Amino acid sequence: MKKIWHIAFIDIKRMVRDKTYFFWTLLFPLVFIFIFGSIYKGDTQPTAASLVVLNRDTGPWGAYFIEKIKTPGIDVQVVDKEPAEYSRILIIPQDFSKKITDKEAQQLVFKKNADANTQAAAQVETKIIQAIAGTITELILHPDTATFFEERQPFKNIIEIKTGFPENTLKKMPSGFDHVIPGTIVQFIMMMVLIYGGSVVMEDRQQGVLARILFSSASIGELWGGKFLGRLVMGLIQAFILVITGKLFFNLNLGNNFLSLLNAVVFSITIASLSIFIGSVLNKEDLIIGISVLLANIFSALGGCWWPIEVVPQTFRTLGMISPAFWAMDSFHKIIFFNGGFGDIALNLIVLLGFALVFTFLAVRFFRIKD
Amino acid sequence: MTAIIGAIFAPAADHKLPKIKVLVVDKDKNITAKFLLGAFDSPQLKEMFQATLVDEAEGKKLMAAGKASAMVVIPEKFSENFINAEKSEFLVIKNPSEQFLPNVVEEFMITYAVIMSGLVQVFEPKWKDIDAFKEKDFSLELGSLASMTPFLEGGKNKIATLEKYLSPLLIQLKNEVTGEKKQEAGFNIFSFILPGISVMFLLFIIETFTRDILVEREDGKCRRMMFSPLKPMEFISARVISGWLMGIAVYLVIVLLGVLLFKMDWGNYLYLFIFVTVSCFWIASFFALLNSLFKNRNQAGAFTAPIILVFSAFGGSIIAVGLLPAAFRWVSYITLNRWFIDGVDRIRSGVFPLLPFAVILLSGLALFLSASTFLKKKITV
Repeated sequence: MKKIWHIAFIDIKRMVRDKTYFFWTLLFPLVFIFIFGSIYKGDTQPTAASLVVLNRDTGPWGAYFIEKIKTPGIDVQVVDKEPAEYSRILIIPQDFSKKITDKEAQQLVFKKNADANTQAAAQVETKIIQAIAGTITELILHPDTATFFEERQPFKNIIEIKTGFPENTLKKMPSGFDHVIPGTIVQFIMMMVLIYGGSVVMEDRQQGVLARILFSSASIGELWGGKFLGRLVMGLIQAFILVITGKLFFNLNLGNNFLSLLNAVVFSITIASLSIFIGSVLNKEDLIIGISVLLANIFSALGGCWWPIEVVPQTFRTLGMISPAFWAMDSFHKIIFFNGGFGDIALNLIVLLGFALVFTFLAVRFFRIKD
Repeated sequence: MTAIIGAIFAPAADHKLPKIKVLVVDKDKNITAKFLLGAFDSPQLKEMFQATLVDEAEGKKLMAAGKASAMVVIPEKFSENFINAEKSEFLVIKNPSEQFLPNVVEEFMITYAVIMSGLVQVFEPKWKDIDAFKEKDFSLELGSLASMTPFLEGGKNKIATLEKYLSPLLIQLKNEVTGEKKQEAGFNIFSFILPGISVMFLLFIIETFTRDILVEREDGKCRRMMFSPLKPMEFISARVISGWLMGIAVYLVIVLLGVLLFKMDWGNYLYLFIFVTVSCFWIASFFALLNSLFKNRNQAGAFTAPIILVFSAFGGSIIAVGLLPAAFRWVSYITLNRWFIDGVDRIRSGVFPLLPFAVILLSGLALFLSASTFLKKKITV
């Protein structure tokens, strides 16, 4: 066992000494986390969707309607002329009040900038529709527009909507970082272990390091075990760095920490075997990097590391099951968002171990001491 | 990667997102609750939602397993409260592992609540005339029209008034899309992704060619060449040109693949060629400058890939700049990726990208001059 540890330790030391190591393990994942986490913020940090309102109306109804739109989620800015740049603008026509008084149908123009956030645009549009429904109801209840503002009955919300999460799951809305960090952990375990792990196996074989190790008292099993353990620890170091960063700076919630760690360990085992296989069958560093990046990205895309899996069509969700990342992500979801226990993630762990078994078989089968 | 991302999201680009799975628990079991179920069954909403009626225990079990985006619980005595214009509270249980779809259900329910609240207030005293509302498990199929007659009689005036407001709707909303990407009709998801990914690819490719500058400096080949009739400027230009030409050649292949594989419309090909030529010159000059500054190959290896990835992350190659947090968007202006993607977008809209072209050309010339100055010093001193 000591020899296995020693071989693993040497590999890890080489990886950590690489000048770009901290960029790849910490800085670049942080950029990912920060960008994607900010995009998928969630309701814990509500950012109001901006709406510019160009009120051309000469009567009182334009201003009244604007008040109806003003809700906590919408940041309304009233202007006199159409600005050159905006994310979305609502134009209230000059004869808005007149047409309401005359009970004449009319159109409000809602312009959305295609480059701006579509989710915010949908949020604003929904609020405008709700304001239209409220205003029309009030007008039906009090058709006399001359006395409307003095005598109207304000709109009453008879039906209220209360939201919540399933029992025994979360109490508060998860932040965007809670969604993004597990995906980044899974993606970067794959990237780091496949690239560094694969390259080192190939280099050691080509430079005769593997053969020299076998001249020592280490057996082939210990050599293989050392390489495997080294890659497993590489994956865990990557997970540990991101979890600590997430906990310190982004208030990351991992649910049951032990189960999340177990998930990361099993996933790292799977990828460790795959990296030895890649390093054994490929002979050029550039090729290993290229294949590793490609595999990691394909697995990440299919596994739901980059975007919420719910927006992916069912066919691709099913196809995603061929990616180990899918099972690891699903497992994280069960632990973090559904307070899942060991029984809930058992199937995921078994499938991941199944992948590990296949990759280990391939890695052992193709493991070569020299070219 | 373009093909994978495109294939996953191509259906979404046609506005055919997966249907949102909604579980409905009807604790009211009366006609008013059936209005909601009927609404989910309407053709427009059927395209968007897949509503399933379940009992509460089953619903809770399914939600706990994350099998639906949301569960809507219609409260007990909803119909009774409705006819008496008394408050009711709908419960929307959201799937915590999903980020968008549960919010769509919530917003839909808020809109439904506003409309139903309006209806209650408009017909407030008249609802009580409908006997059917008092019957448990009433269904429109089984109920008689006679039971609705007092309501229809009493509400006749209201219905006539309503017509003035609702047919056509007194206030309507007309949607318009502005901005660079408004040409939705011929929208092709690959056209959206490929320019961003291709510029990242160009950065990597041209960098490997300009790396020769560093290799030749390290090997002493540069100094040996200076003993030949070759002038320093000619040597530097030759190295930049080789990366530049290779970049153009690679991009021509990308353009061809875009057309053949992804059926992309690149717009005016002359504009595109000019723009790609200038962009490749920028990249070659940029990496020539970096390679003239780096001390050795290890340093170059340590810096170039991170620089390219940061450019790509902030410049729109990994995620659209419009989706970046506002604080990050200004960073995108110092990346080639941002200007390149903007430029290609404009060409695809039929416009020559004057501003991106000018920015890339001028900064490219500045980079080339800087690279020449530094490199001249390194190979002649």
